[in-house]
Amino acid sequence: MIVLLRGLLRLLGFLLLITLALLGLGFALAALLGDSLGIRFERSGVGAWLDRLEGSGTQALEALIGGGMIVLGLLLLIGALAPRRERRAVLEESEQGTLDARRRVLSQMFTALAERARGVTHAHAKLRLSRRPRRGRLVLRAERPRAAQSGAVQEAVRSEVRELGDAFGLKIRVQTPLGRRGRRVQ
Amino acid sequence: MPVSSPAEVPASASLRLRLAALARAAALGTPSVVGLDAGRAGIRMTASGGLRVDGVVCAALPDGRYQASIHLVVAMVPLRPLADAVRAQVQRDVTSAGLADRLGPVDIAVEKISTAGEIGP
Repeated sequence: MIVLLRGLLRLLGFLLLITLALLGLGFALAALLGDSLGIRFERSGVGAWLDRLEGSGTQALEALIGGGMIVLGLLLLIGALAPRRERRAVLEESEQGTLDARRRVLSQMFTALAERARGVTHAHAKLRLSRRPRRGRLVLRAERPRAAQSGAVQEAVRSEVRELGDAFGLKIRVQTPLGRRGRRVQ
Repeated sequence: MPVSSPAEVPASASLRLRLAALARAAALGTPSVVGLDAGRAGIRMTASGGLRVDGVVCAALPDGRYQASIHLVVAMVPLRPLADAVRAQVQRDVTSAGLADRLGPVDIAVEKISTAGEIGP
């Protein structure tokens, strides 16, 4: 689903860029070859604005808009061209080298650990890593059957994931909602 | 051309490539290492003279040594002992090849995990 939405977003962005480019081209052609193409700006809102722009004096608003557009363009260029750095969970840094893992790998490990706890029917780990090394937040959603007490399941999950969580310096939050029908207890 | 073992690297190859090939073989020889990962675009690799070692990035350090970053696919096992085992194996193989003084820090990056097994830090 998310992959489809991302694809749709990219397609829409691409189409929007093409539309903007064609509009810009149209305006540029109209400004340059307006007379020969039979386009006239006289007595129109655009014409009045162009007259004001070409007139003497300071056009503070236009200068502000122009400057803002340049800054926005530069920011967009940086956003598009700057390499994206994946945030990784660092376990240790020493003279021997670093040991780190991708966020997804850690989420998988926490999910597997939580599902090992007694009374858990299904688990899902959501991991957020801080920009600073060995900092982050882990939210574990461990589903339980009606017969299992929330507190007991929370404690069981905590004891399973504590060691790994502490090693990565994570703050752990455990949620224990009732599981869906049909999911089996460990 | 991808290199799968140090034996495929000619003696005339760059030191960087030889170290990368040794590190790759050592990592693959470590228990619980399922494979190496060069990434979706295949950029995590060391290339030189038309040869390529996937999953290991070897970079020169100012002191003349080389830093190796090994990108692993591992089983669900405790990560610290695994990293220690990989480093020890790399050190052993590089020493056997007479290149111990050229090897710098060995970074271990866990890129993927295969399910089933023991888990821990």
